[in-house]
Amino acid sequence: MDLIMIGLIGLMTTVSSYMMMTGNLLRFLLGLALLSNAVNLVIFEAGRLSFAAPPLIAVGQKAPVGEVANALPQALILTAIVIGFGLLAFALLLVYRLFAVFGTVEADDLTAAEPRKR
Amino acid sequence: MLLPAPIALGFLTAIIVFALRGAPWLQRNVSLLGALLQIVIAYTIVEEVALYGVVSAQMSGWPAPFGITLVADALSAAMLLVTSIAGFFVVLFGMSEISPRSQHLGFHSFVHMLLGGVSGAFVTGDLFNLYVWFEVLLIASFGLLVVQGGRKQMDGAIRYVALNLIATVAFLTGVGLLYGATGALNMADLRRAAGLMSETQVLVTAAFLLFAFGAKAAMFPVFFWLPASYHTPYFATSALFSALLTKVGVYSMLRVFTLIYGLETPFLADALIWGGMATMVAGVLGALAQREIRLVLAWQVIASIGLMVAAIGVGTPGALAGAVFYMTQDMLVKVALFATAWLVARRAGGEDQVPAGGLWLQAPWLGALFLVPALALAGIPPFSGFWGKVLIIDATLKAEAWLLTGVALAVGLLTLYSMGKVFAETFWRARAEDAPSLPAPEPLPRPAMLATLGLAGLITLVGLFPAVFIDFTLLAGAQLADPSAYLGTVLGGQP
Repeated sequence: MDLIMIGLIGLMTTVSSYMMMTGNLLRFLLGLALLSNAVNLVIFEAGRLSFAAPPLIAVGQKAPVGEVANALPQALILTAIVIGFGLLAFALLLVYRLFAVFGTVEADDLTAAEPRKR
Repeated sequence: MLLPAPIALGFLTAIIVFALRGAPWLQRNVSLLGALLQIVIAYTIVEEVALYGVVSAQMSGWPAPFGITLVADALSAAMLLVTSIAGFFVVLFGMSEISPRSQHLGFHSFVHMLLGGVSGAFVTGDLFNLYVWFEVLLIASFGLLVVQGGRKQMDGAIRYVALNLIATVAFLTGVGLLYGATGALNMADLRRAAGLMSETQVLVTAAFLLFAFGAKAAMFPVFFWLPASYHTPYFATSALFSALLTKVGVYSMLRVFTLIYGLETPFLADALIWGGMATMVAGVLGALAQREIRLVLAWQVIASIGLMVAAIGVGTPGALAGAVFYMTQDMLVKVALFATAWLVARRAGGEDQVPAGGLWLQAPWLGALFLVPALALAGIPPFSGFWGKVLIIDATLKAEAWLLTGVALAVGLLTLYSMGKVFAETFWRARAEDAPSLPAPEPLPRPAMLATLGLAGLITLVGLFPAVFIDFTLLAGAQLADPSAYLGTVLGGQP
């Protein structure tokens, strides 16, 4: 199980790195979304995977019975997903605006902030 | 409890001023009032810290290390106070510069969100919570970058956005791996747990965090996003960013590498010292290669960051105190530089006309006003930067880090040369013949004048009477070098 997860994380990181380095801003953002999901899996994996029950406490009890899954990584990942989603939405809109203004999303063709020639 | 107050006030003001966007005059002044209240709250926290040492609060009553701790030691308190002062002057200065449209679109809301987020980063005692505050201030800074909405701003923003998102992903990875290795997220608890990690675990997690904080702080070799974006937005935004955002990265290094890992971790101190020196040299050489005033200043931001990072690497209480003093006064100097640069650009008839020169005859007092933060940046007495450099150089001599002493002094000299070059080109040189003639003088906007005068006064005041500030930063340095008071307050449950 751990090996499958690690392999998957590695694969996602590889694909996202390739996408982020193509020089196309839209692919960059999709790669970044993939990378942040790979990181979410890292946190999930770091919290120890198990086939235990969900971390739920029955009515009237003060602690879960038996072996339960680690709830903290889930809370962390949920936070990270929400934040990542918001940032990605903003970044996508920014790239859309760039495309509307400059007519391109190729990073090398955007030179308004850093002109090539003086 | 006082500790959540700066965060709450920041977001409350952001919401109120957003609701007031139909009444621009009221919106500006409520924003200014909110910024003023931030100073009052931050000053109260400073007084508490001076009185009791470290103060902490547990959110929702969950005891540490299970709940989220807010904690302020001398470093956090000093950063809060200077952040609020910088924020106040940026709001005041922004009253002159920001166009009505950008104000309507929420400039003031973003400023206060940023102040709230930065305050959160300074008082949190939880590593994952620090990540959340990083994201909060990041999204606020995105808003500030694009609120003007021109071509150049969009282009600068995408560079900033893309590279900062990579840094936060690295930060999250580091936090996740650290949690996997220790099972802890509370920073005081992490110190206990970090001692149990294997060397590989320490190095891997520290490397991720160093990359993330280094990219935030614009440290060599991941600084290139800063000069690509800091010269594009409003001058007020440039001022706010260079005062606060890079410093959050440096603050996180100070906090995490002294508290969690300890600077005796192999490679860590060396990475900070060598990285800091490379940052200094790259920054000052970049500044010398530029002519546009805001690009020079942006590269100078990098040079100052290098000195702070290297001082952290030295790691003695004196060096840490020097880093804190230098960082806090530098925040005011940076706001003053960018604010004065706007006045200069306005007087010269546009930012691209600044290097054309000839301003001394028209506006000598503006040149004098520019010299105050410029000399403070170079570390010339009687301005505040001098004492920061004295503390750091003294600490490097005592630590026998001769190479760092030499590099820091050489970079200081080059900084003086670079600022002198800007001053000579802008003011002393006769106006270039092919340049359009200077616009007729018009009365300068009063808020911007007040802001630059106030900042110049503060910088001089700190330079003339540094004792009380140095005492407080020495306390911060001692608390960082020996975190027993911090650990006792957070984990021992004392108020």
